[in-house]
Amino acid sequence: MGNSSSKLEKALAEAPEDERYYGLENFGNTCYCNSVLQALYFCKPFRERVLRYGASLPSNVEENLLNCLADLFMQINSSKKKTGVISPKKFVQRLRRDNELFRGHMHQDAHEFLNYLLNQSCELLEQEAKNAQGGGGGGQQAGAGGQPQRPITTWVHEIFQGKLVNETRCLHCETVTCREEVFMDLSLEIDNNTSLTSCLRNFSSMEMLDRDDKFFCDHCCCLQEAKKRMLLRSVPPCLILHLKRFKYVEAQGRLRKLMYRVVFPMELKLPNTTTDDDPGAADTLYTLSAVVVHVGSGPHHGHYVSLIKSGGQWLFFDDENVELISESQVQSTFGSTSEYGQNNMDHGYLLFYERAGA
Amino acid sequence: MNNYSQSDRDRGARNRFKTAPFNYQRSTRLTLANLQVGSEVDGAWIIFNVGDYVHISPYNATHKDPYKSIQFTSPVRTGYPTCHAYLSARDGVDLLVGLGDGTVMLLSLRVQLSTGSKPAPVPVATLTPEGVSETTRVTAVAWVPRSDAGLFVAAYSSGNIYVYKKAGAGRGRPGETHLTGEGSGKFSLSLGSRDKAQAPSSTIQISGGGINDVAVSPDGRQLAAACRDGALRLLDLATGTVQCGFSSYYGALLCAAFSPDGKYVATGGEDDLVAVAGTEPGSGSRTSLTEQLAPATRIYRLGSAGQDCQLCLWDVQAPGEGDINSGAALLAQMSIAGGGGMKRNGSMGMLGGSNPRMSVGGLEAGSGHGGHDRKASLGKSTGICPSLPRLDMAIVQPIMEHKLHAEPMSDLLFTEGAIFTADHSGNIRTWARPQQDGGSSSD
Repeated sequence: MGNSSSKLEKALAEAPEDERYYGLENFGNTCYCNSVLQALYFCKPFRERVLRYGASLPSNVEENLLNCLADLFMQINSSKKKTGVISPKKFVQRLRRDNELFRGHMHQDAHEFLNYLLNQSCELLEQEAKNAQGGGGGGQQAGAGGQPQRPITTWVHEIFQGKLVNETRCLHCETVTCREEVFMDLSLEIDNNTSLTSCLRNFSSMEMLDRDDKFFCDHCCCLQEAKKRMLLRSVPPCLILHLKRFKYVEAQGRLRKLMYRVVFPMELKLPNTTTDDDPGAADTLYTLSAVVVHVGSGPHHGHYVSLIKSGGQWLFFDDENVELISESQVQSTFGSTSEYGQNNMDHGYLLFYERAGA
Repeated sequence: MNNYSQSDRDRGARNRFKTAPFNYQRSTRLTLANLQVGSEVDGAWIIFNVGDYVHISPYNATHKDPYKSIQFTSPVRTGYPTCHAYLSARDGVDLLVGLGDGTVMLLSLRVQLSTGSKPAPVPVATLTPEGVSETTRVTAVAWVPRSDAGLFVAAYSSGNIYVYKKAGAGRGRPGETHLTGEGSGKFSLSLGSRDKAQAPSSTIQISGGGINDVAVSPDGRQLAAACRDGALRLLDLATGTVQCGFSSYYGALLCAAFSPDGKYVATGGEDDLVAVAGTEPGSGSRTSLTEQLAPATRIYRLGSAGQDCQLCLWDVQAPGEGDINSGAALLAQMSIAGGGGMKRNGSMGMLGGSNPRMSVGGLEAGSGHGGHDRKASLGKSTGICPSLPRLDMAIVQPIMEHKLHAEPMSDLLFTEGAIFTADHSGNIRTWARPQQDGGSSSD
């Protein structure tokens, strides 16, 4: 172990002086957690805010998921050595106490964990902001009955949140109804031998609402046939894309993993942005910064690792192991070219893109 | 360290992850060879690489077992063939094969076809430039037309392009040891060649983060390099200087091809776009464009083979109004539509009027000349036009798109009578073209 870490240290000689590369111990199937934590740690805007948040905490603060995360990040960041292994024990214990979903020793979905962590962080920050504003103010959830409180935009929102607009055109009166939604990540349906760009385009392709699925048009005041599509209205500094590799197969009554080959580029511009109110959104350039990879043939077992770009180099994080890899090894996680292809078990699952120059 | 090994922890999978050879780098490419040396092996051949082999099949029998298979055994794992090129030559040294370990072999197709059952290559020369390690792939090799197979180029994933002059060829000594391009001074020769005259006459280094493909113009003067940084760079082959170029919308460019008349260059890239641009460097292009106004309705047929297993064909119209300000302004951009995301690999060829050679794919094309004065807004210093905003790209549909292979496609080749397509697992298919436009040229 000491040997391999010194080898890595040598390889990382050109890496930034203040960057730390730490493996994370596994506590029994916590690779779903470790892989996502690494991707988030190397998401610079997020890490900076977490560290700042951690530094600002009073020493007697009540333990919660977010300050456990901050503790962990600070522990990594302030380590003397460049490489090593750290135990995220406190964080994992907190996670298991907070949510029974993650309590067992079963294989978990990394996307579900990411979702939970980000939402939980938002909630905790909102709560803190409310407490700070209204001095507690009694009513926590309902806004104390007074004026409807404006949703608080936390720094987690600032980093990851984007806006979607749901455009529905009534085919009878041609009225377009727009409904705005926010997202922390985009979940994309996938096909075999396709590209991420194509998946994004499909995400925003026109959908017919007819038969049993008609649209209630406010203008016509009745159900009408309509066309619907979802476009991106604003895009976040850090864009998380989730490839829906775990699909429920009705005929079999169970989840199945789709091994499909989905090519994701090292750079990305979103093809499905609206052009009306933010023309700049269309040509925002993103660069791939991290990939959470699911290794294995099925949804209920397997392993998660993450591939992370730091200081111009790609690194491979597999629980306590950290290694340098090449870009072509990142490309080997695109998937299998044939539907039930067994030629490749490593599949890009969560993709982290950061706005270039952000 | 193994205290935490879990029941479901697939250690086998982990190891596989680290060593899995990614077939994208071993993609099959196609080369057409027309052997006319007055021997029994005269005729047209299709050369293609699969794994460690380069196969040679008769032109009309690619569906059968190859006539000859050359196995490239190498002590290093990356010593498999990655690219090849053929140009008929008087001295019989007409076949180039580039390997994943950085080696380029010069072979004679006639000799390879005539040797007995031994599947080994019989190289006339083996070139391994100094500084090239086994992790530096040869990504493309190309003969320079009109040099009587006297000049050829080899492009590397590291970003170097070596221009070699074959001994005895080229009485005019076209490439007399030019050392051009940035940083070329540090280049030194060390050829593991039996023929000491096989020396690179020049080396060109491009700051493009590596080169994925190169193409040489039909007149042998220009070189188009599809770079990993997303730029297509057009170079003057004699001096190695970058004349002009353009950037992808995003991501790396993967392939490049000239139109048969050399007026246009087409690229395919990770942005799921096929782009076509003029090759005239900046100044004076305006006049030359207006001059050709009369016959301007020339249509170029472009083909593309994508990783979405689809072959696409487009018709690209040469500009009639001549509003291209800089030589490399985009003429058209084509993007993969709906189900067709892909990266194209391998070469991309263009078919003009009636000519051979093309490949690689996408759909929806956009005519992007948009009237912008790009000279005023050059994003990069070297005369590389930045890409157009998406809104300014007009979208053009392909005239045909079809899923032809079960695996991602890797190359395609136009000949007078047919289109050959190849996929990553080495399947070759032939598609007859309608017989009509006579009077075509071949190379």
